[in-house]
Amino acid sequence: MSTTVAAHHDEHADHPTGMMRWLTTTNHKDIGTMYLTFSLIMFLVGGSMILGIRAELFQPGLQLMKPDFFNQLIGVHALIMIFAALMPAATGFANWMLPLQIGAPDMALPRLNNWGFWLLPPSAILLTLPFTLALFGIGDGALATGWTFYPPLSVQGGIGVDFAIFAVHLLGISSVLGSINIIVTLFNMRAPGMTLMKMPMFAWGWLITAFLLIATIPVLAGAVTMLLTDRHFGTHFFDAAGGGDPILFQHLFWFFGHPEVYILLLPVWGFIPQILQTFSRKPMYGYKAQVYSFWAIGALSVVVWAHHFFTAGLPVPALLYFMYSTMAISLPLAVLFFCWIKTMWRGSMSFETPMLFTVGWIILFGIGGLTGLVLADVAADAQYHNSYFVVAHFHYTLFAGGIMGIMAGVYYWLPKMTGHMYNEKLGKLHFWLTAISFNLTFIPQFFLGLAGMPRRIPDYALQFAEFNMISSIAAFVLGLSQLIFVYNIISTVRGGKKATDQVWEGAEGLEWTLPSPPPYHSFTEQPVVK
Amino acid sequence: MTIDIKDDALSMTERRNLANKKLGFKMVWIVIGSLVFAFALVPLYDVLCTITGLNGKTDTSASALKNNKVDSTRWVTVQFTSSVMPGLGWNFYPKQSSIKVRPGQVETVLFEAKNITSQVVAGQAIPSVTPARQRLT
Ligand code: HEM
Ligand SMILES: [Cu+2]
Repeated sequence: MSTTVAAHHDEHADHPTGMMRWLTTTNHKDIGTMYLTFSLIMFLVGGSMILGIRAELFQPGLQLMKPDFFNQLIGVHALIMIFAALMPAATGFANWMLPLQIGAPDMALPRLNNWGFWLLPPSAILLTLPFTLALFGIGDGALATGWTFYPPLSVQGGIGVDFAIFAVHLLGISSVLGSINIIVTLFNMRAPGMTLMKMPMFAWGWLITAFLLIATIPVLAGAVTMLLTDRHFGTHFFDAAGGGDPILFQHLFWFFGHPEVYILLLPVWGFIPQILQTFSRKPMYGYKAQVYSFWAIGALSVVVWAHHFFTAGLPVPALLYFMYSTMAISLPLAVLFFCWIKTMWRGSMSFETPMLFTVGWIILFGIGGLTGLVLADVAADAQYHNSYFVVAHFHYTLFAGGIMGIMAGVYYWLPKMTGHMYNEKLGKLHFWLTAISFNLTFIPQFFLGLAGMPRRIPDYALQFAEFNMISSIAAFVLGLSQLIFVYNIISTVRGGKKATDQVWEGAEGLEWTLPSPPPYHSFTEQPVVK
Repeated sequence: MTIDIKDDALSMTERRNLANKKLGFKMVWIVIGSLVFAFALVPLYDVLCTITGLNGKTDTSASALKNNKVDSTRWVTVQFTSSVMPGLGWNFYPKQSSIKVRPGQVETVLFEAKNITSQVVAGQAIPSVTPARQRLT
């Protein structure tokens, strides 16, 4: 591989430097870095918003904010975390690692790649601008409907809804562009000899995600566009008074929304087995079984959407169908869990930070999946729907299953990307603080939900006070612990112990054959895979 | 001029770039397809509800129940209400605010619609029933 590097050393000089480099770059590593940086910033922004919520919920009664502002924070927090933190993080890894893992010189459509990224900052501004505008007396703040945009509230809401709709349009275009690029890269740019069934698992996770994205994001775009025309151009798609049907919106939204949860997780399910095999020092168990499970989950995910509104008055046959199909998803998911555990089984395991996050991830994500099964029961969901139980469920899947998975990936690949080892002590501290405070934040929310505390309400009955206080304190610890993560990343980028090419003793795959950090242009001559 | 991908004069890289663009555009068709699907779902939704009868809404089958069994042991009170879209120049209200019927009995009720503008106005009335399980069938 070193010959390749030497031969193309001269190209290194012809890319612009400074700000222009980042604005115009089509290099997959630059773009990956921008995605990851953007994601980290938005993670902190979205996190601060929810700390505002937890501060208000610290005690019963209204202390800090008006209910309307509370609702705005909740909705924008979710949109930012899903579209501006979790999705860009996964796309960032895809840009950085997919070409390296499949032995390609770059992504297939580099120019598209650049646009895909630069649509993100404007949409983040669109999402948050209404907060600032409201300070100057323009409009009444951001979208206050929660991230789900349900009419009639979203038809009646202020300019915040319009801003959020346009932001979703931009975010949608961005992820569709990113997905097309990934699909083309994976189909056309693999190193000679790498058949689809020899692709790294991360590539498989992303391939299914990308197809889900291009199939469902347009449905979301369509739904919010209908909302926009209902608001301003006199159509009545969802306005009951004009003959529309608000339930139709729920169908459209969740036709996107449920696949979206797997869109967020499939890339993580891709690299988790790679981390597991590295730190268990044995090949991953059940490659084929995992790939087929990905397919099964991808296919099932588009036919179960109505479990998000069991209580909206669906007819009984529909309730039964959506209940059983939802529960069926846990079968391929169980196959995945089995493979992950079997990969570790009798391996010679070591617990560096990426592995700690991964093992913690398996347990916590497991709790998320199990509580999902509880919610999938129509009879039980009548009680739990719109309660804090749901909030706790999806934070076990999205914070533990999503964000903590991404963190495992960051610690795993950061030495490869920067050429420096991160501070292992701080990494471990970050893990333990995160894992413990995460559980202390969300376990009380399960019980609050079981006891009947509704979500998205700024005040609550007195009997909920203790658990909310525990949850709020833990949430602040959780939030502050992330500063360790940020510090660790920044200091690793700046310097630190030199990382070897292989970085981890048990690491296998093409990306570990390149120097750390890899040269600006890598694999200009494709390696041959046997 | 169209460039043939198999043209030997093209370098490996050029050939691959073309193939990438081609596949990229194919993917755009999927995107367009699902956008069309999203809008098609609006009429499809109504059609599906009608065909399968999976619907909490009213339908016309009540009038077909001529020799339905009437349950003469119970009374049911049905209340009527109406609302008009803001901006539609109509008065529209039920002429009776509620009726008492035996379950299974067919009744006729009257609604009055009045145009309160000086122009001709077309409007559409959308019936609905709650609770959703108590359909007009
Ligand atoms: C076997 C697996 C799962 C099952 C059976 C399941 C089931 C459900 C059900 C029935 C609900 C609706 C609850 C309600 O609103 O009353 C729900 C909500 C939710 N689930 Fe899951 N789930 C599973 C896994 C996941 C995963 C893997 C994710 C994310 C990556 C996820 C994310 C969410 C989110 C975000 C919501 C709430 C959305 C909202 O109302 O804002 N779930 N889940
Ligand atoms: Cu779902």
